[in-house]
Amino acid sequence: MTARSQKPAPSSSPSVAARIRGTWSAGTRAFARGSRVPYIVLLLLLVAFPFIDGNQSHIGIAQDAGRWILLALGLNIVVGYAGLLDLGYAAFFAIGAYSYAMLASGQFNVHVPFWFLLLASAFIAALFGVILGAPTLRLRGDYLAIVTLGFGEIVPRVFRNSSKFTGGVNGIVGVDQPFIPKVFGFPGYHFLFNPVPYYYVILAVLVISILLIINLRNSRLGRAWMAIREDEVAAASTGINTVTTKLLAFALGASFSGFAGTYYSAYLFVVTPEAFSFQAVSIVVLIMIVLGGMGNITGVIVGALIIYALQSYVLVQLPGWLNSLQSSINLPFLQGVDLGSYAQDSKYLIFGIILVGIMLLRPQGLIPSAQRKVELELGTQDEAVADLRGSA
Amino acid sequence: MALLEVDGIDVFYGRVQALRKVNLTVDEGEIVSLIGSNGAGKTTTLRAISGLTPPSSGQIRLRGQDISRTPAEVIVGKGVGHAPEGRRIFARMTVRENLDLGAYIRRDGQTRADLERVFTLFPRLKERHGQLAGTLSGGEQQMLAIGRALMSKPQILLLDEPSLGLAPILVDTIFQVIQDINKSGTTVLLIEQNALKALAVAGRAYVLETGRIVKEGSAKALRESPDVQKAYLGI
Repeated sequence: MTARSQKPAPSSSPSVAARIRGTWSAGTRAFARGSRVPYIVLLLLLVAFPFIDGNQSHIGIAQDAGRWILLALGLNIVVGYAGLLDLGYAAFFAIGAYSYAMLASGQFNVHVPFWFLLLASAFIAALFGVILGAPTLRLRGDYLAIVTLGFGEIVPRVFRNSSKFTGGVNGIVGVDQPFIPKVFGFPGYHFLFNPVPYYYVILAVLVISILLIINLRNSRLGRAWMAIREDEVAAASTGINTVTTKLLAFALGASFSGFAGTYYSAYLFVVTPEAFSFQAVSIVVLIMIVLGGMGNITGVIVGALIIYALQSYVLVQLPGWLNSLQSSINLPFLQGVDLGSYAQDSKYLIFGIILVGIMLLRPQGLIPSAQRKVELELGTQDEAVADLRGSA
Repeated sequence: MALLEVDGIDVFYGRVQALRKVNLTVDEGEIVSLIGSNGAGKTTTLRAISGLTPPSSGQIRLRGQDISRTPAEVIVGKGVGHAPEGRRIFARMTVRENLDLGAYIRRDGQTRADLERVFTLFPRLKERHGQLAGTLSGGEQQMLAIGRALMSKPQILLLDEPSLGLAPILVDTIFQVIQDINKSGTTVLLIEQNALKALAVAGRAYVLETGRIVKEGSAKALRESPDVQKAYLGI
């Protein structure tokens, strides 16, 4: 049993603040109930990582993976919790990235500090989440997916075509690098091209986000999201305002994406419109959460890491591996055949085959939520379902 | 003043008119039943009352206050609990979470007593409180749907076909519980295809036919009416 099965308002005090405090501590307790030791060890290892591994390119990879995890956690709120299929998630990522690039660069000679915009871009993205959500949330399922897909295509295109403001195809170059200002005797620190400070920023953001999401999931709002995912009519007839609840899912999910966008443009110093296409972001993040296990935070993180590793390491290295394999075993019938370039050309085919393979082996995701597990087993093996009684 | 007054409502689904000038009243403490065949407009009437399908004309009043344009999620807070057609439980959430969601609008922090009440009415739900609702049997799901509606502490409970698809022995249990709920002070408006059962527990009833109320009266009078016997009681 977890805290989510407790009453929404166990306290006798009906004030809003007390309710929020109540759900917050309930969520934290649920998290604390399992052993906290592995999580603390993992966190310490992650904090120590740049000291253990002096190779800066490894830290660069780690921070990049962290950004994808952040994106996946945000989309999981929309798709995994509230059940709204959003195919335009890249739009909010682009909005976050361009917000920073336009407000902290030579583009308009405006230089708003990174730390402020990191928070502000989350609000800007959330605002756009509401702007997109308000007219479209009456749509359901496939229809909502199509509209969000359109939105996801429109936003990067608007950025590309408004060259006056956004630099068009070339994007915005020379985005400000973050720095910690000189205060209270602290000497000040410029991030420059060192990935280590970025790594710590994304790590801190992730830790805060995960704690926030765990508590949201167990809150009154979290339960309302899941009720809507299960049955919208029934949710309305239990008194849930489905419109505001769905808008909140959209806004919160978008704010994670906006956050990640600002971080991304500050890390690269450059934003270009192609970085936010459907195949580069929206679909990849969706694959991460479906493959990892929708609605399960650990699953989403694992899924993000696996897809990230597949995309930016395995598929990149594959042609090289095949070439060296070929030259080391030297089969006569393969002479003159360039396996590496075949692999290069069929990169997405291989990616697709791996995805199909994983989904066939684990259709419920790698680490599914209890709900997904039951959903997939229902109807096929009724006996197994009865055994799940305790695990829910 | 009646607890609930439905005053000449018309309801359309697109261009199809489902209800035509439906009038009915429910007084405090009653069990009132709506009977009629498939497609007569019984479910639509309940959906109109609970705000899921607002009427295009006419008025619905709860204790004299017009609620015909009020959104569903607000109507729950005014004391109308709806156990909708087809149960519509949250299948991938636990029994307990379903019940907690029933109390979603409650701000009084007194839901514990209502949870105990639901568990007393339906001991099966207490046994299975940690189980995912989708894994319950049909009868248990119906109990959960009723229990969830009760968690909002309604003044009037709208029940849509509570006996649908249940084993005969469970049908008797459900009807017994409906009477118990009523005795503890909750007014009930009940839809049933099983007219015999409905007329056995209800004090008064309305007969709906193709979107119109064609007959109304005490349950006893309707049971004895030759038309009703012929059309709905199979006598």
